[in-house]
Amino acid sequence: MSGHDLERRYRRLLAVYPWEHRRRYEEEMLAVLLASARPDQRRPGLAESANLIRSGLRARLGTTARGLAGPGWADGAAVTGLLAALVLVALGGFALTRLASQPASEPELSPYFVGHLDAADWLHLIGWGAVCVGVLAGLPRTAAALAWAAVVAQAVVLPGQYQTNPVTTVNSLWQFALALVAAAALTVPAPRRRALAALGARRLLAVALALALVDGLFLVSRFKEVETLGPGAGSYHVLGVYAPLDGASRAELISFSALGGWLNLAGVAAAGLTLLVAVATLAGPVRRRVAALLAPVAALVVLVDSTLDGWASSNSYLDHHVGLVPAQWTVLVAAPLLTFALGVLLVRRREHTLQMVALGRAADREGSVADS
Amino acid sequence: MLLDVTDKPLTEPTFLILTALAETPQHGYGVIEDVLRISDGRVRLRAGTLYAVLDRLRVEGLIEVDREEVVQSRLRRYYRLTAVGARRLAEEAARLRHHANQAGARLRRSGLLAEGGLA
Repeated sequence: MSGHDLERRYRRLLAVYPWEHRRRYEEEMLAVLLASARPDQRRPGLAESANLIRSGLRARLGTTARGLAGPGWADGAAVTGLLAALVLVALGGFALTRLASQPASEPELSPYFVGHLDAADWLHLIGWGAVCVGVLAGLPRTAAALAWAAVVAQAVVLPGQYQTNPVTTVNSLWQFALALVAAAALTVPAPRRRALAALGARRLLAVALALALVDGLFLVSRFKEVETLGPGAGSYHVLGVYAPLDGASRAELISFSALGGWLNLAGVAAAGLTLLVAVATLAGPVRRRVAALLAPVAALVVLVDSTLDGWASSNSYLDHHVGLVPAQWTVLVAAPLLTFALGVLLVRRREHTLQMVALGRAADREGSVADS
Repeated sequence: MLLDVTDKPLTEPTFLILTALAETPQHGYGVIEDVLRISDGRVRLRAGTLYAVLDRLRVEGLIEVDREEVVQSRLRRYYRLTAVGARRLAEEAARLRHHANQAGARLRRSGLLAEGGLA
């Protein structure tokens, strides 16, 4: 009876190991553990248990690390790195709207209409543009180094921005998160031009055109607005897009006719749909990993949007800035990290299930061949 | 003799496990017993450590499965050294021997140890 108890307890301890390890070694390890036990032993010894738990956790870490270093994640990271860098270039493009000079009729719009770009805007645009060129030219290390330089530059200016304008800084934190994801993804070793191979030239072109279309719509809208808005400009239509872009919490597409408004809407919708289709039609393993890598950024957007609304509006009513408390910062950092961990876990689970289904089908086929 | 310094030195459990498998294929419990003998009772491997090393050695191609047996309804898998494993063990033994000889020679020359202080 004591042998059964001991075996059951050892089996429970061996559950610490990842399933691949258990499938290969569990029965064998159990035989060794039982052979090493004293005749009357009922429980695993303390040192033996600690050794099994330590080795099991290490094996789990090793399995995760091997999985993350596999070709699937390298492809996913390469594609994510390029897509994120392209989006960051497009975000930099929004800054160009600030080149529009201020309409005489609306002097209160001054934060939007500064008439020039500062050095940080140019560095952002040129820096991420160079990252994209580096990726496409097959210079992954240069691209990664440039991306990290851009992240560090942004990290240096963030505290200062937070001091002067906390709401805008927190609203645009997702851009920093996206830059961080891009830099981290581009650092994952992958063969040269892997991103282009996995994404495909047509998809890359579609993504670039979609982003250029959105940028173009905003640019044309802003310059036209400046040109047209004047005394007695009449009515105009505003399409407000939630996007904490470039110092403004909303970006607006202004049109002077209903048709223009619909065209703006159709343009933004078409661009969004193109981006979605481009990612959704990627090969399954790459698509799942791109989603897992971008999910933390989405989590941050949703979190800021859904939980910090009150904080943002109280800041706009008060004559002094109210900062976030440490607990809120902790959640802002922890939620994206947890989302990534959950994403990795879901990718593994999904692929494990697919693997099992494939094995089952193969066994069925073999069975039916044997029957016939 | 030039040694390949690109290979990291083997840890003591790894060296002893490869040594245990050098002569004849053995199963897990046999390896534990043999390592205890080889090390004059100083090294008693635990199952967790043993299988971490066996798994790594198998992945690196230094050992392979020789055969499997079921004894009293328990699985016994026998492992044997591959040619790569044998070469790696020989290199490591030469490296250790070289270092041990150097240490012994210098200690003798220094006179810090009485004659016969080193076996």
